[in-house]
Amino acid sequence: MASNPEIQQWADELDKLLQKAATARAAEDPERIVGMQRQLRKFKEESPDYADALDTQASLAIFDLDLSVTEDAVTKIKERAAEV
Amino acid sequence: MAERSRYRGWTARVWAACIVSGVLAGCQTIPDISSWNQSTKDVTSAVTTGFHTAADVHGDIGRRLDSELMTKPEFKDAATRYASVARELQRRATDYEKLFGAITDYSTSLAAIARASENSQKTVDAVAGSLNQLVGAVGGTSLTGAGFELGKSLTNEVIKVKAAHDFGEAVQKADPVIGQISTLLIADLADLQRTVAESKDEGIRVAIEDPRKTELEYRAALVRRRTHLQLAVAGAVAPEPPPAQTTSLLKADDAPELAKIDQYLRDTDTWFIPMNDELNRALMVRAKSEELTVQARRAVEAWRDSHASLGAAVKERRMPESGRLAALAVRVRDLIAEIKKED
Repeated sequence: MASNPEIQQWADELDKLLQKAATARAAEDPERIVGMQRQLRKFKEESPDYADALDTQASLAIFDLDLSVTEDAVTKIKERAAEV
Repeated sequence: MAERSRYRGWTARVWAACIVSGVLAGCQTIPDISSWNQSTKDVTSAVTTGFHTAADVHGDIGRRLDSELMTKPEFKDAATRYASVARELQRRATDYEKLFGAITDYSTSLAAIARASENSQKTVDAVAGSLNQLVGAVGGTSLTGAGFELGKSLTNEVIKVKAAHDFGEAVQKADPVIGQISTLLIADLADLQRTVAESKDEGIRVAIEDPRKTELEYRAALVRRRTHLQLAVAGAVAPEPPPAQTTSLLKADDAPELAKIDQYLRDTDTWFIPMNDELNRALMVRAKSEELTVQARRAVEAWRDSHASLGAAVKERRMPESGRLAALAVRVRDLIAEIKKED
């Protein structure tokens, strides 16, 4: 069983990534978004097996980054349909 | 004398032939625009397939995240959101199918009129009639919002077409309609491209790999162990004495263990290879879908420009400019065939 400080280190690492992900999302920069998603995947690959809950958070952040771009695009398509 | 008479008869026949062909050439004021008509069908296919494929990409992620294999209830919200995007894109695909049905009718009418080569008020009315159907088609889709400015302005253009004096002028008057529809399409296709951009890849990976997370971790551990043993065994059989660090890692049973690990890895191939193939196929469909939206957008631009040149081409009795459009149509057809192959 992993010790608390060990898990805490991984949690801190993820926290940093999530903050960077939030900035990339706000910037709406596609390259930064893809870059962040790759860093989150790397986190999942390198984190120990017992950090499953953290991996789930990383996966959710990957989806959220993608859906932020996608849903914004779909909203614009819908708005355009309503405008014409 | 008889010879001179024969010569006169021959000259008269030549002149008569020239006059007849000249009159026919004069009547042939409308060039063959069937290739433009074919390109319109290709643009139709590019746009509607673009929306359907993008909807499928999202629907597929949504289904995977919602499937029984996925043990994470935390992913349900993302599953719902992907499914909702898929539905919206599917709805837009249906709208564009209706709209393009009418655009194709318009384009086919133009080609039929061009084949008949009759430049009359009847011809002009036929152009106006097919354009009117196009306006009706816009009204039959959810592209008609509260403002419905496009519909109003399209109707005005139809009135102008009816007032035109010949086919070329009628086509030129119809051009703003095609221009407005193209503007709408180009903007929608740019946004559609964003929905199937590279940011989708990591989501696809999670959706496919996560149900096998434990097995993937086991396999990754095997790969790490094998790499470690391979280095140790390679060091043991090297002609030069291995560095001290490697020597310390070497054990007598490394080689048999390496064989055992290799076997365990081969055992994982039964699920790993199909899963990996599935992942690569999904990533490829996503990439092709993005390329299709890019090519479709370019094709719509070329189609709009080609229509703009159509009226002038008719007046100047030359073919409309459609070289770029034809080239893009070929690429679009190939892409659609590649995507369908993966279905």
